[in-house]
Amino acid sequence: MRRNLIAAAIAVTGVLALAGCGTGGTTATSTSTGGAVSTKVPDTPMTLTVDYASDPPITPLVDGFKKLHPNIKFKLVQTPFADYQTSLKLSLSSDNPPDIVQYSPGPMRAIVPAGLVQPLDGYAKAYGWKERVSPSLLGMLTSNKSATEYGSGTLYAMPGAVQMVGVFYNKKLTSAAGITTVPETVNELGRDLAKVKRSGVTPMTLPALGVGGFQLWSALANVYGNVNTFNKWVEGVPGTSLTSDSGFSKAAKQVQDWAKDGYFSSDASALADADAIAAFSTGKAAYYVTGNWNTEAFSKALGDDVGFFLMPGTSASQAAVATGSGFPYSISAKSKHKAAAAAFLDYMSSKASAQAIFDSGFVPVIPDSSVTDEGISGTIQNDYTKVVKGKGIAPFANWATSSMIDTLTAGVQGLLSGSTTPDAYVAALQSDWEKSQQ
Amino acid sequence: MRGGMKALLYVLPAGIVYVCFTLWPAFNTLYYAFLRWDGISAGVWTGLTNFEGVFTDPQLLGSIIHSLVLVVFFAVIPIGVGLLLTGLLMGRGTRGMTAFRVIYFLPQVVPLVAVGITWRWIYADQGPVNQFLRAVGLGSVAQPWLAQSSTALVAIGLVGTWCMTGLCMMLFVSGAQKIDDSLYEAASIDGAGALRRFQSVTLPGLRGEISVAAVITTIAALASFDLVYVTTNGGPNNSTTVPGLLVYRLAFSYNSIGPAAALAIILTILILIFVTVIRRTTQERS
Amino acid sequence: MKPSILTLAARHVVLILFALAFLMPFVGIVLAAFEGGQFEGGFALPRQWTLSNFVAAWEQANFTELMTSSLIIAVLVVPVAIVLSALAGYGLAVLRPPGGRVITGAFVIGLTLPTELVVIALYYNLDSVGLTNNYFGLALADIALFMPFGVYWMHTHFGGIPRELVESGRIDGASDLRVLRSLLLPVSVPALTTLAVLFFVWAWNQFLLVLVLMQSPARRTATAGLGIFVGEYSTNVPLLSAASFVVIIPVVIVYLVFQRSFVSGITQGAIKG
Repeated sequence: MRRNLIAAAIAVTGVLALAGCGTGGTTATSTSTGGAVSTKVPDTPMTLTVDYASDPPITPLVDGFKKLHPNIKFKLVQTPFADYQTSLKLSLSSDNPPDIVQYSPGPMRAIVPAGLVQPLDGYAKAYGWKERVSPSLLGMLTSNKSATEYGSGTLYAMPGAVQMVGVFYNKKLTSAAGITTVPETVNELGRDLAKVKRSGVTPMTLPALGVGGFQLWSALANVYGNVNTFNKWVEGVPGTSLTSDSGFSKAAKQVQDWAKDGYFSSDASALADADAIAAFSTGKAAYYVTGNWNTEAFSKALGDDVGFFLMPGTSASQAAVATGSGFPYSISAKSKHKAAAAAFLDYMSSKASAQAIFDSGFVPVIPDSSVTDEGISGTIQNDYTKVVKGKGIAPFANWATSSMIDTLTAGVQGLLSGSTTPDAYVAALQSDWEKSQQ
Repeated sequence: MRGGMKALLYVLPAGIVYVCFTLWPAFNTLYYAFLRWDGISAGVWTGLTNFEGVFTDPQLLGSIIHSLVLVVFFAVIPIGVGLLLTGLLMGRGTRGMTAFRVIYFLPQVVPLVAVGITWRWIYADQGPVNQFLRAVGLGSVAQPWLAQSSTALVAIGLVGTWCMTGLCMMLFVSGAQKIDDSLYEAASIDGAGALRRFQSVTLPGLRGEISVAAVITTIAALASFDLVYVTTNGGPNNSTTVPGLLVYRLAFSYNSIGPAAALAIILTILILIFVTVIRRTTQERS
Repeated sequence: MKPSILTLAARHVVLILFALAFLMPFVGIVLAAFEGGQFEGGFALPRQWTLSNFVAAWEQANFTELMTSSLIIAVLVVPVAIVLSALAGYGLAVLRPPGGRVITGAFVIGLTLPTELVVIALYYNLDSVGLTNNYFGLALADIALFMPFGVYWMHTHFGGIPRELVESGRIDGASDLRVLRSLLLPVSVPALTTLAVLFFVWAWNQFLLVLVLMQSPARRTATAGLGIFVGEYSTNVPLLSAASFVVIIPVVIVYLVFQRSFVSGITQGAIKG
């Protein structure tokens, strides 16, 4: 028995010693950006693989690009958003990575430092991107090499379309409740919600199991809180704190108050984004605070009955602001078709793609003033112009750290059930942020 | 000692696969638990920090507590119900046991993912559970079970009870059939009533089955992943997080390999403790 | 002493009630899957019977690829795991190598190790040799997972075979391998069948490993595909039910055909355990 024990002990020690192999880390294939990059697109036949989670806008972009470069084929690989975060990291660090990926800030915080994403400064210079595209869209796509601070440094992704969060509403349901005008202040929106409730319809669908829950908070935080503080916070500027401005807690309180008033469905905490989309599209709720990535789906379901307005401010004269970003795409550092991929990124952010993007309900990165309409897409585009002239686009809160999305989701669920106070909610976000700063 | 080295050759193939793809990764995980590592760049030694984190971080500790709650629903209740029913069902004359057996084992056969998806809409606001409650006049009790932090964990626990009870029942009933009748007769002669006979003959006779049932169900509760991932994903408000879910999230979404590995190690130790206790208490006092 | 009619009736009522409780969710899946009209949320006969949900689910979840993946994995895993288990069980129980107790103990420990312990390192180890997103990588991981039970099961089984059978073979001059093949395997068919059925079901139902090791949606197994599919279509219960039905059906069929083997696998494990 003792002999076996000793043998086992030796074996264990040996294996433990050997177990160390394998954590050395991949040799970062960092490619220099200083080298000359060409804007010439090769005309040999090739296939670009694209990993993504959301569509549109990728299909209209790809279709438009293929018309200009028929020699380039695309292989589109989709993973639902919830799993995309995980699969992105796994696929980019594999031996056969895709050429282009839909950028996702959470996993990027590990992928960028490992040198798996192609720095784009060289291409940006060659194509003149920084002169063409609004800086507020490039802010979160630019970071230092360790991906801890954003807003300055190296460019790692380009926007393909502009996504923006606002309030979608069902015109039939709101007019049936006696609402005739778009609210100009948050309080007016609150009163409208009450009116809809009295008319017997669920006022607002809030998918607190998904991203919709905290996107409502973000939209309110943008109008109640200081946008500059918020931007710096998401960008990871050391020393920033959400607790320094009571507006963020006020926004959380607003969500909680509306929940207490019964403006959301009772199972909001178990509602996924797909559930909310279905509820709004089938006329079961009058309002839904979400982004223009759902425009196409809503238009198909509700036709002209769907409307949109920016989350109103605390006063009618407050400058327009909205959560949003460029819908970004990056190039894998191991891609064998970088020039072609860069050309695709250029196409996405140029006037050439404006029509295709507009038709899919998104706002083109470079709006073409001739591309617009009287319907919802036109409304959204006009509102975007207002935002650009106003306080600008505020980044998505979940881009602040890789775990923030879960902290936000859990926090909003706590607000809805009353088990988390608004101040505790903000404190939890700040503490998650500070943990990642170390 | 027969066979000698040649015998080892027969064990080698299984052994190699087992060592390479289970034991070695397990030791690796132990090593990772001492690191601060994001899975891509090089790792940095941090000693016991991650292990401390498991007990100081409310999220991580909470997941362990939740899994202990699940043990009650996955193991204690099904075993209790199984024993109770064995006591009631024992004896000859019960027809159609084969058919019952097929049905009772069915929840164990299907993927938990499908089970979770189905129970999600069963528990929904307009789902069968609430519909039934409203139909029998208990409408005030009807609520979105999986959407509230006060009820979600229990709701998931009950799904586990549904899964495990059939297994326990069948294990105990078939085990009880193997108990020698003479033992019961001897007890009867001594004047023991039905309850006494159950306690002194049936229970001891089912030691092996209880042990197996307890081990299987306890591990299922502590190591659960599929069910929670598909029903609540740990919500609402982190009220249904379990170690398995957090290990996956920490390692593959947050790139925090160290804490994930430490949690996995602690989970394993917890399982080993439970298994040891179970085996000790059900052992034959010879 | 035959129990009274009342007792018998009561027993059957209890048994039937439980059976209903266990069957209910399955009934629910079937009813919802065939619903062609508006799904009302409960257990109800479909207003319109239709097969369209199955077609839609099959297409949208890409079940052709998912089922193929599951089958490939089953074909890779089950035979290999059985052979490895039989060889090891034979070696340990009949041939008794030195250190046999330690080896058996090492396998038995594996019965309690959760997948979570192994999955993180498994991902990085397999990735460094290019076996992630690869059927062989996943198959090897599954096989390893099944070794503890497989080796234990065959060890127990071979240990229970009378030594005279083995000795008679040896006296006739047969080699160890011959003894295994010609004498022991023929009487081991039930035990091997049980193992095959259990391995098939476990491989089919595996979720966490597949989630981590397979990144391409096309390479995922049916169960993993379902787990991810639910994220997209959580409101459409008929669609989800149809998808669940498709994923469950193969294991249920295998189970019904081999249910005796399956049940004996679990219950007999108790006697020896």
